[in-house]
Amino acid sequence: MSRLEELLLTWHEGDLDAERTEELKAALAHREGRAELFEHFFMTAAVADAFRSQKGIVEKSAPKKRLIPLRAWAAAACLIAAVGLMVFRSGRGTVERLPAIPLEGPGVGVVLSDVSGVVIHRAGQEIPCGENTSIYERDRIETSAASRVLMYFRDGTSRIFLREDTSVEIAGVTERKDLRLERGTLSVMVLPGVEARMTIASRHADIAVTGTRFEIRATEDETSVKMHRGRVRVRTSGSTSWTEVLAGRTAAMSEEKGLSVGSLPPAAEAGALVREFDMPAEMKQPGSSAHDGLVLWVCDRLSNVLYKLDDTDGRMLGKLAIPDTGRWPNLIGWDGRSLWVQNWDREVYEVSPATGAIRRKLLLPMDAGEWELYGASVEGGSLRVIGSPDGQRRQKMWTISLATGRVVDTREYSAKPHYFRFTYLDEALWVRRTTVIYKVDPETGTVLKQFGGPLIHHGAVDSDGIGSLWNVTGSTRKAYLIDTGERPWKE
Amino acid sequence: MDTKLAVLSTQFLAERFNLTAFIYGLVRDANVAEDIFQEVWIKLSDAIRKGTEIEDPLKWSRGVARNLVLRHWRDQRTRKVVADSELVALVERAFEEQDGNRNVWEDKRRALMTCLEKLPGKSRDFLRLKYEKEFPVAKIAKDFSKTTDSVMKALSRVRRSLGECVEKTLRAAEEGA
Repeated sequence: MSRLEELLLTWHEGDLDAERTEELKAALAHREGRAELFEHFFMTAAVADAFRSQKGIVEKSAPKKRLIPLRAWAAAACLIAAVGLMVFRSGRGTVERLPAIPLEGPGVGVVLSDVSGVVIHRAGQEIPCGENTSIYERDRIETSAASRVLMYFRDGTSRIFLREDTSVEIAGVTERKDLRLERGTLSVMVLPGVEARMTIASRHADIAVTGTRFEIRATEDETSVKMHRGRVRVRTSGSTSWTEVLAGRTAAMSEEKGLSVGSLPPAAEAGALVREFDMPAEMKQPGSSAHDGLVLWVCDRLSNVLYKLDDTDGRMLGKLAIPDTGRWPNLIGWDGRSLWVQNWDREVYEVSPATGAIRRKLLLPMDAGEWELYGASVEGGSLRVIGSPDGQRRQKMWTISLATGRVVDTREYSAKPHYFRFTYLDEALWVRRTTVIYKVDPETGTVLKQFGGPLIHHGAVDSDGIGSLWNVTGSTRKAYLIDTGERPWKE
Repeated sequence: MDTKLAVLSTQFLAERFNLTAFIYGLVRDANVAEDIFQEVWIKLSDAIRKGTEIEDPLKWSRGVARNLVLRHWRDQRTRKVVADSELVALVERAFEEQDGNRNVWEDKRRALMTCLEKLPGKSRDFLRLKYEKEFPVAKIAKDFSKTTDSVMKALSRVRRSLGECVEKTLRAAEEGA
């Protein structure tokens, strides 16, 4: 190894001290040294490019095939810039309908996550629980002090995250879902609609739910509810009168104290770090994320795998391979039923969070040669895409119905910032540019507020749905939850 | 998009590998490189729109990228990086000096793809960990129960062997032609 190569490798390890920096500069004062440096940089980028390309390296033993020349190293390193090449085709998108893959299977529900330490009690017996085990009416699911499990109802209306040391029974599913929480904590997501009605009974309380997101915890002494979205009605056991609990509020019910209501903690200062955790070590390149109300999904865009992470500590709950979503997929959101992924080739896929199966493929309405695409985000029933015809002054946002694939609204903006990485939350765009996050009025493009600093990293942003933004970055291989300083409820 | 900008964007994208090799070589982080590349494009298109005459877009872009890299390093106070503008200027010069050999390097890049296929599995593993997963040498050494020094040497050997393979492939292609 030449001394110059040693210095270059050391530099890129971040271990170059002042003395060796001077030595490196002295070596680069000569043309030969600079030529060696160029070759070093060139090879590094080309090798990285090859490995980052899904069609890159084939095994030596595999039949030889002609490798597709790299479109550019930027394919990996400059995804969004290259997405700038993506251009809108015309005012109307097309939806390619693929066979829907619902949560089919026996029973009323299914467990879909890490299941170690989880037991199902059925008809007096303990049933071994594995990934994809079906849940039946009258089953009681129990987690140990170290286990957690996600449960999806087969009808797609409700998902429940059982935290540690929790025991819950599916008491009935005839007219509504009746759950009995014996102990522990449940995080619950219930879609709006009559068919999604649910009641949860504990020793101290009854909770009636239609369309909401909340957490319920039952201990020996009391049952408490933290409301994040929507509303529930609660009453203490034996009582006939219900009390409505709205988002941002809490309720505690016990035999001794009856019912007491309170508020969730107020928002922190905009830009404050709520929490952070590491990405799984096995991920090749942590990319964008989507929060589905219960867990954080992070896309490894080099391996086409979605990782399902506990949003409290990053614990991996499972993963889904999405091999058919094309090159360099990015998660762009959650619509209440499915995850949405956009790839390099301007295709958007609806992906089942249960199986990874593609439910639909949607081609973005792009007009070649005119519009560069900067970013995309799914929220509720809409896909929002932002692009620019000139890379600078004018920007346009298309709102596309996920149901039909058609453009339902367009807006043009002339204001900065450029909306590269954005998410849509509670009728506002949240845009990250460099290390600043902007809140933008989607009607006018006006910046409503901004915050930033060293806590904001290069990478995608996604809303947690209750006032904070996830910022997942490959730079540090971490997920950061950043407070926006706002809550979706009145504080 | 006006004609001038359209022409410029074509040129800019044709030089993508060269520019990103410069940026990535300095920041060694695909996400950061991605953002910096975007910023460069915005500044370039803005300059064109303001009527700035840019003789050599690649050189101009590299200059902007250099400043953005330095800014990025200054922002990353917690990371061990050398934010030495003189050093970056030397890297920039090294790239400038190769601007006349773009076709040669493009051929080398294609040959490198073929050569990577031929590498033994272990060598490829080293490269993969270092350049795909961006693991520090110390971590690779730990995973392979080797010393940092021996991993550095192994990486150097693999790179040298790749370089030799590239030269051999290009020579063979020339002779074949």
